[in-house]
Amino acid sequence: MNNFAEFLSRFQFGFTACYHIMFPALSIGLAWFLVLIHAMYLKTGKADYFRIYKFWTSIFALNFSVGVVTGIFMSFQFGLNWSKFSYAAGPVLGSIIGLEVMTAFFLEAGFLGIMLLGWNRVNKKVHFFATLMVALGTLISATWILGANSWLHTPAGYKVSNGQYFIVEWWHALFNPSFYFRYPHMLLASMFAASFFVAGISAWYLLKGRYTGFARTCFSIALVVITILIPVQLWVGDTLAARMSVFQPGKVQAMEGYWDDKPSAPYLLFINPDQKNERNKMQIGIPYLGSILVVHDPHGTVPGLKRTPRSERPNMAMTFYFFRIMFIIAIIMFFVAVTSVALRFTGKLFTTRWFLKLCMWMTPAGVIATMAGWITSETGRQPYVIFGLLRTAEASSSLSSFQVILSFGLFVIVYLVLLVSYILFVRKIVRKGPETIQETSKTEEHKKDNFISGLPETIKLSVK
Amino acid sequence: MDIHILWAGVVCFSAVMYTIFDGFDLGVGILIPFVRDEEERDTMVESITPIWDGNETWLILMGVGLFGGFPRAYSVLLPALYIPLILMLLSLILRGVAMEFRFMSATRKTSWDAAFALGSVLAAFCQGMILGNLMEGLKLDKNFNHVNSTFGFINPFTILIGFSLIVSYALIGTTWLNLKTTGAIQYRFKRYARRIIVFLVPLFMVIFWGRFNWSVFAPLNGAYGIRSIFSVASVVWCVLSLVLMAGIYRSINARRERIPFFLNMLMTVVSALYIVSGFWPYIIPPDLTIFDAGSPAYGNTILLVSSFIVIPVILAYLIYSYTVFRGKVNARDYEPVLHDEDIALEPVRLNDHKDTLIRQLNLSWPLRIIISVAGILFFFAAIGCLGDGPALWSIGIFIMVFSFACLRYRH
Repeated sequence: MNNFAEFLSRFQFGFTACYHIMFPALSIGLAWFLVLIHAMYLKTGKADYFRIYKFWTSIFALNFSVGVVTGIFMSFQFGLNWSKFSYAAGPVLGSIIGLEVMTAFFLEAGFLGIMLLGWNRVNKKVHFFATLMVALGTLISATWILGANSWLHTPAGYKVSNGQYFIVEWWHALFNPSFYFRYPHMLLASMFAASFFVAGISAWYLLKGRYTGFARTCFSIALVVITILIPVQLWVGDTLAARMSVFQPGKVQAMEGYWDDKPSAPYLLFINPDQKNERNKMQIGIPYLGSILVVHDPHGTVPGLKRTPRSERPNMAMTFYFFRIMFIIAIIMFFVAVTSVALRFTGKLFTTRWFLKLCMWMTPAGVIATMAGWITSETGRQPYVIFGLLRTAEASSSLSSFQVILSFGLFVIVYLVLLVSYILFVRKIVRKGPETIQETSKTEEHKKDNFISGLPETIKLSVK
Repeated sequence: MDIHILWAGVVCFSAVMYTIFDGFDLGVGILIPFVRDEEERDTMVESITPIWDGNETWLILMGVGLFGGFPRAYSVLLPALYIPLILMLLSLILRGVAMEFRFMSATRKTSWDAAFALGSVLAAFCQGMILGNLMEGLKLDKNFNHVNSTFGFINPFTILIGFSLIVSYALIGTTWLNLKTTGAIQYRFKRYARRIIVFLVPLFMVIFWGRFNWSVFAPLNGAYGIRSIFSVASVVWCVLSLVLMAGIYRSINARRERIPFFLNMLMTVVSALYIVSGFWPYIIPPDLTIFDAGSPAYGNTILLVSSFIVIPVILAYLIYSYTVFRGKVNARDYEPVLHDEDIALEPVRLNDHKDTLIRQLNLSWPLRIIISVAGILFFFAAIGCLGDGPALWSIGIFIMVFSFACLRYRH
């Protein structure tokens, strides 16, 4: 294996994985949002909920299809570019992902058609069930995949024979030590991705004064979800960082941006690290906040990356900056949540223009934070692919540079075209707005009237 | 029974399911260029939109089945056929997305149709190439590394297999569309089906004959498993496939439209069994048997057992999903409208500033202050100054207060 092909393979994996995660992250959140809306519709029977459901379903459908097809590639990429890794970890990862395919992917796929296109073919309760199954599928899928990924971070319940890893205790392998925090962290992240997405688009409608009834409901629900979940997420994230500093000290040290142990440390916002000479050429930070956030004590000592042996250090700049992106977005999210509570209680939630604008600009915030978080997590575990067991450099296939250049180039082109079209189509759906639906409906009185006067049974209402 | 054989059975099963089910939806894509009319194209694509997602999942199951069950084979095969696999996956991505996007696009619909067709054809061709390479065999050295060059996967045999797979998918596509469409377009697919059969049968026979007799068609290592054209398997396959093809040819005009489709599915199963029996006991001929490639693992057993439990359940709800969408395509039917029984003649208030569902709360000022202060306090709590316990408590209290205050919708 030549180094250039391996280097490109890393970027190809990073690129395709980052691209892929945007869509499932949104799908998980949107699916549960749709379940909520559908439940409300079933309970109240109000046409407004139906309209909301229909609008977000069209975006969900686009999103889901991109997520599915980019996901197919992910399951083959292990073997294509990382064959030594897939040989070693196949019995573990293959089993976990295999269970994911059988319990989650098929569940989603089986009921997605009914959810998106079967409204008129099944009754409302069955349709709700289909929506619920799709949402459940996304949840189960996230569970397995986080189990598999966490196993790579903190391998447990395995034994080695012949250079291959085998699961000995399923429970320990799947519910490995880091799973307990990484899993809720990711689930909450996808809830935020979807909530900010919904809130941002609704905010745009509110700003434009279009479909305000519709937009108010969506905006309000999204902000309730954000407000309730943001403190949980901050706590989970904080605890996760604390736990990871036990399992992967190098990652957490790199996240904080210090080379030497630092008491009463400032919270660094900008660094210019020099990986070779083990120092920061420049750093800017907020006094004491670093110690407060990391060790929960203003005078505590923040560990530096020099504690980790040189050969086991992750790249500081990448880990640090992507962690900062995630963290800063989280703080802005928190600000949005608190402000929304204040505005809600003063009755100005839907009319404060600066807040609506802020929410509009925050539309992709959740997705970006999720991506940044994944990059932090995955670059922070380098140089290992299975932490402490298998180095990434030893895991790759023997490919020629030409092959990887070709595949990576094609992926970049196709994926960028798809991303641009996806964004344009979402924009188009949003511009068009929740449709003015043809409603075929009748009330009890109308039924009676029709019966008596012999009018046609249904009254068609075309609403502009 | 040996665990490797059972597991190979699961992988083969998903491969066959994939060829049948994604076969017809790739076939629809392959047939798109032959239909010019926009509405007819819509009908074709709408026949597969509710189900294509499930069809592609079989491919993932097959891939992951190899990954978990035969890690050696997975790690050898994929890099060896890197370029055709990458092209296949890319085309699957392209066509899947193009299928969804074409309905959204007003101005560039033809481009998305082209992408859909190109993706389908290329995916089918690459799958054929991969199959062809497997049938030829991949030379491995003693460390189980492949010795193929970058473009070693291309030769007349693999190209011919790729081509015949495109045609076979087109055939199952026509029988599927015969089942799902009506009128002039249905008549057209009936005609196409007959033409394709007339073309495909000689093609199959050429491959069949050439495989055993021409060195160009089995250039590297000769035919595996079944070594003679007069062996039982070969004769059975030959007779059965001729009978089935004739059956499709005759029944395509029959009133019961399901029959040609089912015969075509049967044809796929028979051919797949024939090809697989040619492999036995190799997974990658000529060096790697399923016993060498398997992972004699505990995880494998769990996966195996659960697959025998879960796959029937999957089949049950997939069948349910197909029955929901049975019958002819009716795209108007896909568009959700309110159910009759909804009492929904309430005035539509899309542009109403008085929101219909959300009630604004008007709390008195002391309450507002208390809630704001609580909010600020829990910010510090949540980021961990107080440690885990108090942080959790304050989060919990906040959620309770907030839920009671805000989650009250007017019904």
